[in-house]
Parts: sequence; C-alpha cells; structure tokens
Amino acid sequence: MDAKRYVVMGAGEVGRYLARSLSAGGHTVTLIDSDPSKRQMVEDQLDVGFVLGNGSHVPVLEAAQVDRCDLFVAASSSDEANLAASLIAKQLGTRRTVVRLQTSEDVTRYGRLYEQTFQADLLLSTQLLTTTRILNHVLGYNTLEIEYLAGGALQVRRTGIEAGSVLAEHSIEKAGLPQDCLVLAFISGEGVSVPTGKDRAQVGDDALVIGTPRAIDEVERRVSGRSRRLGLVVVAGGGATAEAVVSEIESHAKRVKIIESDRVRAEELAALFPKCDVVHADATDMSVLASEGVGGAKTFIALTGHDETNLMACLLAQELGARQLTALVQKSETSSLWRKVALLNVVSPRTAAAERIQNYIDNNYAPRIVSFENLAAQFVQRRVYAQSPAAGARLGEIEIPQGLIVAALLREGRASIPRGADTLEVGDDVILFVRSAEADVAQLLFPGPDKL
Amino acid sequence: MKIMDILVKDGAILDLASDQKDGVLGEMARSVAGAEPSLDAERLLEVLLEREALQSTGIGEGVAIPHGKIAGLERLVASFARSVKGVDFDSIDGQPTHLFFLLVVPEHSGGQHLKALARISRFLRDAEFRGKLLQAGDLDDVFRAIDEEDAKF
Repeated sequence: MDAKRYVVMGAGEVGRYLARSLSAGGHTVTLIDSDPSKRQMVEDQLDVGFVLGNGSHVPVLEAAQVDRCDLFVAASSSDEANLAASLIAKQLGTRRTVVRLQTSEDVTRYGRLYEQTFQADLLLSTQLLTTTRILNHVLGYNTLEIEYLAGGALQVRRTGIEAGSVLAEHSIEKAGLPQDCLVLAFISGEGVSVPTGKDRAQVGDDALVIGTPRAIDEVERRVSGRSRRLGLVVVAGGGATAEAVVSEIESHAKRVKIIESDRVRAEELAALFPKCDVVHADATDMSVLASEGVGGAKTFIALTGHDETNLMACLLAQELGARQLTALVQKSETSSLWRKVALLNVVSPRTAAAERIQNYIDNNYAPRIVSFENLAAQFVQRRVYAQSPAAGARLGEIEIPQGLIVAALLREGRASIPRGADTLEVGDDVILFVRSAEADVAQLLFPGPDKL
Repeated sequence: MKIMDILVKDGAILDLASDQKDGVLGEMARSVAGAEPSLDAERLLEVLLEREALQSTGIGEGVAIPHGKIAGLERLVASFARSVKGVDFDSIDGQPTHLFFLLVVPEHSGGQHLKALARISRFLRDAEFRGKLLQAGDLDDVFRAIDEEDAKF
C-alpha cells in the first residue's frame, strides 16, 4: 500500500490511538493539540509529528500541512473546534475531513446539516459507536454499520447473517419481517444483489435493511441469528452512554436496574425511565450489589466514567454470580488482559472510533453504508416535481428495474417505508436505493438534484 | 406496450440539422407536432425545456430521452431523431448525444409514462440496438430495428 499523509487534531484517547495505528501501517501522521504537556507524551510514545496549537486556527493547520494530507481527522474534545477546523481545512485545500462529535443525536438527527455546513465528509460520534457495540454484545446483534436517514426517523442497518438467521433459513417473504422495513440488498464478496421476495441469504452475507428504528430492531433480532431475550439487566453508572443503552434494551429485558452514585442524576434517570429501578449507590460496594440481586442478573453492564470502577464492578458482579459482563474502558491498553482474566466484554470508545475511521480509509473514503465507489450501489434522495415522470404514479404500478428501489417516502415531515398502494405526490421526497447500472433510469424517473 | 404502437413515424428525423440542445428539442417538437395534430409545437417545446431544466434527459452512451406531460393529450406519443455528428446535451457521462427518443404523455398517465420510459431506456442499453440505429441508412431501417426489439420483450 502507498504511504499516505494523515493529520489528526486532538491528541486525546481517540487521536493518539488512531495516530499509533495509522503510523504502524507505514503512513505519515501529524498530531495537533493545544496542550503542551501532550507534546512530550506524543514524542515519547509515538512515531508521529506534533504541532502545538488550536486546530481551528489557520496557522496551526498550515503548519500541519493539511493541504497536502489525504485525510484530516478532527477529534479534539471540543465539537465546535472540530467543526470549525473541518471547514477551515477544506478552505486550505484538504481533500477530506472526518469530524468527531460527542453526542449521538448530532449525528443521527442533525448529521446532514453539520456535514453540509462544515464540509465534513464523515461525522462520527464516539457515544453512538460505543452504544452500538454494547448493544451488539448485550443483545446478540450483529450490526456492522448504521446509516441514519430522514433525521433519524429511518435507519439502514448492515447486519451480518449468521447460522440461525431467519433470512438464511427462509425467503424474504416467508421470514415474517415487520411491516415498516424493507430488505434492500444482500452483500457478499461478489458484490451487491437486490433480492426478490423469493430469495434468501447465505450465512456469511450481510443484509442491508431499511426501516423505522422499532421495526429494524425487530429485524435485527431475527436476522442476526443469535439474539436473546434478557432477564434482569443491571447497569452501573448512569451517564449519557448508559442512557442510550437503557433506552434500547428496556423493551428486551424483563427488568432493568440502574446504579448511579450521583443523587441528582439518579433522580433524573428515575423520571426518564419510570419502568426501571434506579438505585442511588456506589457500584463498587459489594453489599449494594448483593442486595440489588446482581447475583441473579444475567447481564451486567458497567458504564461509569471511570475505567477502574467499571472493571472492579464487573469483577464483583462476577463473583456474585452475574454471567454476561460488559465494561466500558477508555484506556484500552489493558483491555485484552481484562478480557482474559475476567471473561469481560470490554468496549472502548477510542477503539470504536479508530476502527470506524480505519474502515472509512480502507473503503476508499466511502462515507456511506454502501456507495458506488466500493459496492456498486448508493442511496439518493430526490424530490418529486410536477415535471417528474413519477409524479402521480402509484408505487405498485411503477415497473422499474430491480436495481432501483423506492426505499423511503418523506411526506410532510413524516418518513415511512412505502407500500404498493402509495401514490407519489408533487412535493414528496423519496430515498432511492440505486445500483450503479440503474443510475440512468433513476435520473430519468426521478430527475433533480440529490438532496441526501 | 410496444414502442412502435406509440411512435409517430412521420415525425421521425434521420439526421438533425441543429447541433444545439434547444435547437434539437425545437426541431423534434415541430416535426412531431406536424405529424400529430393534437400536439402544439410551442407548448411541447416549453414542456420539454421545463423538464430538461430539472436535469438533463441525456442518460449517457449517446442517448437522450426528452419527455414531458401535456394536459388534454389523449394518448402516449413517441418520436425518434438522430444526429450523425452528435449534440452536447449535458449528458450524464459528458459525451455527445446521437440518438433521441421523445416521449409525450397525457397529464395523468402515472404508470404508463414510467413503463414507456423504462422500456425505451432498456432497449437503448443494448449496444447492438444502438449500433443498428446509428448505422441505419434510412428511417425504415430504424423502424425495423425498433420492431425487432419490441418483439423481444
């Protein structure tokens, strides 16, 4: 592989981890950070360049030679600085930028707006990536990637098909999938195939499914082939990640308990999750864990902000008899050790972010779940205009080639998975899934600029 | 639906005079309106230009399918034109356009419109069919090639 040049803003956990793995691949990496104490740390530990300063200032970006890099990654702890840096780097001639944001919602709901405004090629939220990984562990899902459409009202998930998956055992029409979803494609080593209702997937393929979050959750349960119903789930720590995790698993568990050491936050959580038990206590207190019945918990998830607390809580829970253990660990040097010692699932935000960025690089900088560059298909969003041939047509009567799917209908602020009886009206937006071979037909039937 | 059933033979043009996008559309509109009394050339040109303004109907490989809806029209109408030297039609692939299929449909024809467009574009994906149209010595050769293609599907 050719040596590339990368500039990474922010020498925190994500930035240093990413810089190390990229430079280990033989590439030239420059880190930017405004904290002078980071310089020594970087110079001692890593074989990369360092520029001291705020990455949202022009001279700093110039010193890091962003105009000559293949990719600029803005991963400092400040969202605002990251966004500004992306825009300035683009003005200075950077080809591509990745911007890390803190909260999930900024990616799921407002992602497109941020991408357009700040010219970011890829947005990612460590919180979102971490939550996805935790849910994979806890629920047995096999989510490889999620794309958020229509402000998060719809998702496209790429899910690995394992033995036992309904899509490997039945044809799509016999798989009993919920209404508000649509299987768009099966992806194998050979490429993308758009299935008919009569087709089934092979174990080892990935399925690409679009749907409402609720429907797609149900699909994931059946498609991954190893999902499980949870008994008692105990969550230690009640921060933002815990909140995201609990809201997803609540409906899959018999009971959820949250242990939070801060009284005010505990009260907030109790109001937020009326069906859960919120305990105001210290998760590393053995007697607390014992009296809360942690020994009978099938699943224990430690998500406090402190690595040591999480690891200790998991060890104690294991001692009491809890079986499936997951710990959030920021510093991942010791992750593999913990996995061995305590049979823990260790989820590290920085590895999750770095792997997502590596994946983006490996896929030739294709930011989307599928795109023409690497998989011969893509999503486009088109408005239905009065001049559009599709205006006024009922979906069921549109005889379009198999590689062109009307995957979603956006009307008056509502997103839905269209049915054959739906009629396309002027002013509607449609999200199309288009194989590259059908790009010409897509342009004929749904003319206009791409709005995705 | 057969393309030959909706094609207005007398409106076809073997070699276009114009080498400009608007000129080609005008030439085709006048020619098909001359052969099909229910069509008004000026109104047709207006509709075609409105549609092109949204995005070019030049779909690459030297092919364009200009189309539009006309209120009060009673049936689907298609027409054919060829430009030997090629026209810059803002095509998807940036290449000059040689083959033009014009399609006009009634205002509320829904599925019919899409069906005809999909059919024409499927025909034109076939390089052999495009070759026959490009090499046709006269319009009868063109109609014969379309007839043969119609019989296949």
